[in-house]
Amino acid sequence: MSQQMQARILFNEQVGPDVFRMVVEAPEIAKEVKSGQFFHVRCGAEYDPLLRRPISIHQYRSKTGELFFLYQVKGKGTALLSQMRPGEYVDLMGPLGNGFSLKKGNGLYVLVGGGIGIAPLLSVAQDIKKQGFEIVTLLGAQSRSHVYVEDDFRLYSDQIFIWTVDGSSGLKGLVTHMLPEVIRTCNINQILTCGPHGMLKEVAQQAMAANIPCQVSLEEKMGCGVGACLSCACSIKVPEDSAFTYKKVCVDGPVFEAEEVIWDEE
Amino acid sequence: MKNKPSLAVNIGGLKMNNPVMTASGTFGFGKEYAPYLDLNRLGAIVVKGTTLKPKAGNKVPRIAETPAGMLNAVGLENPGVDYFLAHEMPFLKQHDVPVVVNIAGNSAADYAELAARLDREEGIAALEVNISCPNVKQGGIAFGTQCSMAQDVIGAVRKVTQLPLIAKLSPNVTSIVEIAKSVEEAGADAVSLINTLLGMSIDAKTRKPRLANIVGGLSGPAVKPVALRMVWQVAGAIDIPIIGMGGIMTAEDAVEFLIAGASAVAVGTANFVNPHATMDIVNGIEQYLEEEGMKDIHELIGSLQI
Ligand SMILES: Cc1cc2nc3c(=O)[nH]c(=O)nc-3n(C[C@H](O)[C@H](O)[C@H](O)COP(=O)(O)OP(=O)(O)OC[C@H]3O[C@@H](n4cnc5c(N)ncnc54)[C@H](O)[C@@H]3O)c2cc1C
Ligand SMILES: Cc1cc2nc3c(=O)[nH]c(=O)nc-3n(C[C@H](O)[C@H](O)[C@H](O)COP(=O)(O)O)c2cc1C
Ligand code: FES
Repeated sequence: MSQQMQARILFNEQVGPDVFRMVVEAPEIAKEVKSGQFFHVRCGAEYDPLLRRPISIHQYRSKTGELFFLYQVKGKGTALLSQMRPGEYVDLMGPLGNGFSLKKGNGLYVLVGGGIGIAPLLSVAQDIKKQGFEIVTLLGAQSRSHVYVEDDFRLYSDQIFIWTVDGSSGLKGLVTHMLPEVIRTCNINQILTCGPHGMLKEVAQQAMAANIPCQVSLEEKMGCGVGACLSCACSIKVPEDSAFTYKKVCVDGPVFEAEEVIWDEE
Repeated sequence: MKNKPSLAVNIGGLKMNNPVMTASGTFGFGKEYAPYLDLNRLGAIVVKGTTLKPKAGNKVPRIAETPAGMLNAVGLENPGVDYFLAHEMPFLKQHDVPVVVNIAGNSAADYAELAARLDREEGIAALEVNISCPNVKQGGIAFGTQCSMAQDVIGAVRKVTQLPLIAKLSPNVTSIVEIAKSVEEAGADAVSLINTLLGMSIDAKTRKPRLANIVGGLSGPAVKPVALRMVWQVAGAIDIPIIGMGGIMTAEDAVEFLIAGASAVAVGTANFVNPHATMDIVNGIEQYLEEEGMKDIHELIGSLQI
């Protein structure tokens, strides 16, 4: 069950120009987390920033009780987080949300990550490998310096392709350019994706057109993180007589089936 | 053994073991926070604003953070009263905590129909009437901003229910004291204040508003001085009890509201920051009374030294 805790920081190291990896000790929690779930993190003790910040599980190690976060410094909250030192404690609420669920089959899994959206996919890659399945990973970034933790992904991926917008590393262009070819040539159980909204939409549409199961991890501004404040609404297809028009990213997601999401509404 | 001080209060017929309630819209229907605290230890649970029919709410972004506060424009998303009674009330009934239903509508008749529907239900301890929402018939003017309209709504609800009736007041008015007096006259048993302060946030880079709704309600520590001032002014003008809220994060904040004249407090935005804020506040108030040598919370209520 989700709880609030003070977790001791073991590492908080810079892994890119604006990206950090934090490792905390949370033995009880590390046993029950699911890939794709997130923690609601208090980034400082003062009232500014006031609210917690949602950060995904990047990796978990049940045996050693370690939880990993990979985060990009965007504003006040994540800047404060990046200043925390090993030995200090960070206030976490979680695990929250539903997480990815792997669809069984005799094919392989395709991971598509863009920008910092790659964070939760490493944990999924570990899960898939543990079950002995093959993984094709497609990672997209702005440029060479924004390709993070590539080696970690190599460890679990049978094939990996890096795409940068400016071509400074790997292939030049958007990561979604490659998806049609992968879809055509591979027997795919499922596509799992996280990243900018435009990328998710493109991946979802390609997957749906090819009839391949696809799960997307969505983002929305969050208040409570537990389903109480209704800040994090996302448009989802619902039966006409339903009492709900929206679902909550924090408790109904952040992971949704591609076909549940209403992609056209902007 | 020293006796613990008494924290029990009676808010116009709503009896609570302690004065700490949850603020509507910030605590869902209770179950969302059940993993983090013992709901039975709350003074009362005030649930999300409920309307007759389901309401979809506004587009996202619905919240924006501001220094020591947040703006929200959720737009009263709720599944409607029938869903609430069928799917949320059973869980709440399993607990030993008073349940207050916050209601909203587009006309006095809407409010009355909703109140009549809830009046027949078991397990509801009180109604909190949110008169801060826009009135469609009157061209979108909020009920809570005009004395006559506030009176119409409270009067209509009073006729159909014996339940303790709490009028929730908007701070976005010329004189909250006048509104408080008029709802007292119309038969309210208590008032709660303040609802959120209308505000706005702009992203200078994109020149776009940070909320899809453009404007929204400010809550959190930033509004506390305004809320305290309003509680103090209203306390001097009416005889029915006050539930004070607006930026309460700690027991000390809550104690300040009680000193200003509130008989109970509600905790809103603080729940998002610290999911057991309400429990810390209950414990902290008790400790404060002990330290001050007070045996009963009523010694503290309205004890402002001028
Ligand atoms: C379920 C979920 C999981 C996430 N996982 C990660 C992760 O693993 N690593 C990571 O680096 N980031 C993750 N994010 C995004 C992260 O929460 C935001 O970047 C962070 O809240 C920004 O806070 P800040 O104070 O640094 O920036 P702010 O000053 O608050 O904002 C800076 C920018 O970030 C945007 N932003 C603020 N809050 C959010 C939010 N909740 N979601 C999306 N954008 C936001 C703002 O619109 C603004 O453009 C996740 C978001 C969600 C919803
Ligand atoms: C996200 C959010 C939703 C709210 N929804 C309601 C509501 O449905 N009905 C209502 O009367 N007040 C609503 N409020 C107002 C709160 O109940 C409270 O009056 C206000 O937030 C001030 O208290 P705080 O500063 O402790 O949050 C809402 C506040 C927030 C932040
Ligand atoms: S963040 Fe509050 S309901 Fe999702």
